Amino acid sequence: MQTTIKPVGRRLGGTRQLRAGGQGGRAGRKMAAVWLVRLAILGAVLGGWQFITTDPTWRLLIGRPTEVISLVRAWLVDSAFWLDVSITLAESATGYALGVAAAIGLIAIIIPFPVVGRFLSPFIAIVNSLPKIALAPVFIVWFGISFQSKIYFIAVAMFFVVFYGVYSGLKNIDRTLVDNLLVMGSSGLERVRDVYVPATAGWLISSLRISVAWALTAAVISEYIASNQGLGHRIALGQQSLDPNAVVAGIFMVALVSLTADRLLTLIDKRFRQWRLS
Amino acid sequence: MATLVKLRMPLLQVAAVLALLGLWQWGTAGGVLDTFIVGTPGETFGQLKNWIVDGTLLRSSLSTLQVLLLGWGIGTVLGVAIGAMIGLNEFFRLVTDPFITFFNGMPRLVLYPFLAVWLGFGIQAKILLVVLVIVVVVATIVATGFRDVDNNLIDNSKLMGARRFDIARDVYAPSLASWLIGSSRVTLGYAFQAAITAEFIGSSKGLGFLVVFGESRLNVNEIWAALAAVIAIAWALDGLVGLWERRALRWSRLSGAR
Repeated sequence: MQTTIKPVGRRLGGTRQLRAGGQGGRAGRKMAAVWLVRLAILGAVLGGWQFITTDPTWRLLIGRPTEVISLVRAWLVDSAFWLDVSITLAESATGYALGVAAAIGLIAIIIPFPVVGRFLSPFIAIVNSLPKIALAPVFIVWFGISFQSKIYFIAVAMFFVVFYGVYSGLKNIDRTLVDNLLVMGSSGLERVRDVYVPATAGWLISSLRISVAWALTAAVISEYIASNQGLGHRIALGQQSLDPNAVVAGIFMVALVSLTADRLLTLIDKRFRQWRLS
Repeated sequence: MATLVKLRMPLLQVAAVLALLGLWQWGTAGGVLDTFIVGTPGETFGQLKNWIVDGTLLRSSLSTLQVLLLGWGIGTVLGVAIGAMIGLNEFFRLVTDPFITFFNGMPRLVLYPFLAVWLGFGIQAKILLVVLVIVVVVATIVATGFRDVDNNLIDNSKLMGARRFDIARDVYAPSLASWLIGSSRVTLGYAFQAAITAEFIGSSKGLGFLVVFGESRLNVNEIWAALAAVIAIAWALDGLVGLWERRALRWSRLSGAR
């Protein structure tokens, strides 16, 4: 009886072992097939796109891969393009920093005074349910087509992500850590320095990776709506001048910037994970 | 006395809102606050009332909700299909992995200008944006869910003579429902975000359009009124889904599983 039941319960472990052990040749052949199919899909999409756009009407609508590539190559050596990239990045980074500062400031008030938190919680929840993107026009009216209107908008959009993340992170801190410090006679400042700050910092680093795409989206959308510089403006310009290649290239560059930032932050996250206080 | 203590906080909150409104009215009437920057409560409520009376508010809300719900529905169905394939088929997962990573990491809202040029500024481009924004999220949730399904459950069902269809119905379908319901608040939030963004750009209806229209005329009162409507809908939607989630997932908490 024992022998018939045992393998059932162990199935997951068994397959995993098989995969980890990997019969070299078979796994290698499988990955080759995987890569072949991946390239085939990519080729089919790009080739189909290129083929359809031999028709000039389609070319005017969706652009053409070869033309997009040559445009991107022209942009890469154009200093105006790099200026746009740096402006979008600067907006995202400054806005994110402001949002984090505001969220941490509020949490620093709420944690010692829970009454404030209870008073504010319905208001924060209501505003949080609002699609933050809808606030972009408010900041444009207030600050015009300026750097400020973008960073304040991004800050507000980031505030809620960071606020809820850090708040729940702090709530979930292992009580025994705090209790141990209390027993050892720590002061409030020491508890903040040795438990709360490391916990928050670790959380912020991993959240940065998640929110970088968000901060960039917010920056590009608000540049798109009203601006005279940045990647979002480049996309808007392409649209206004009926140049779909510029729109596609702009979107592609935004995706590329976002993915590059994501990769870099993954590395940083891994580097810092070892001392993470969970 | 006990009820008084319990009521103290809500009363304080209502009082704070009223005080803020009063301060706003007093400040703009007295010229302390710039009406161009903050608008006035009277005109904001007036604008809201006008929109309710002439039907603009209802029409815009319905237009936004149409984009939101259609896109959400299509995106969820597609996401489940893709997620199921990724979760159940190792080869498919490996093949799609870089595409999913690329799509997941890129800011998808930015795709709208392309969709709008391609499909025009009608409803199709808007719905497609909502679909594109949530399909990856749903697919990822479903795929991880399918891979994490308790294998003992499947093996035990097989032992008791279940066929593929039985397993799909009795093991996968209930878990799928619980992940979808559990993630619906998040995906609806994304969908709302996408619908508003789509209406910002080259649209002539919807709540997003009302906000941008107010911006283009530099009329803060119109923006406030439109934002109030957006908040009301977002809040109602979130509340309804939360209620549904609690009801639908009651069994899972009672039985203690997941």
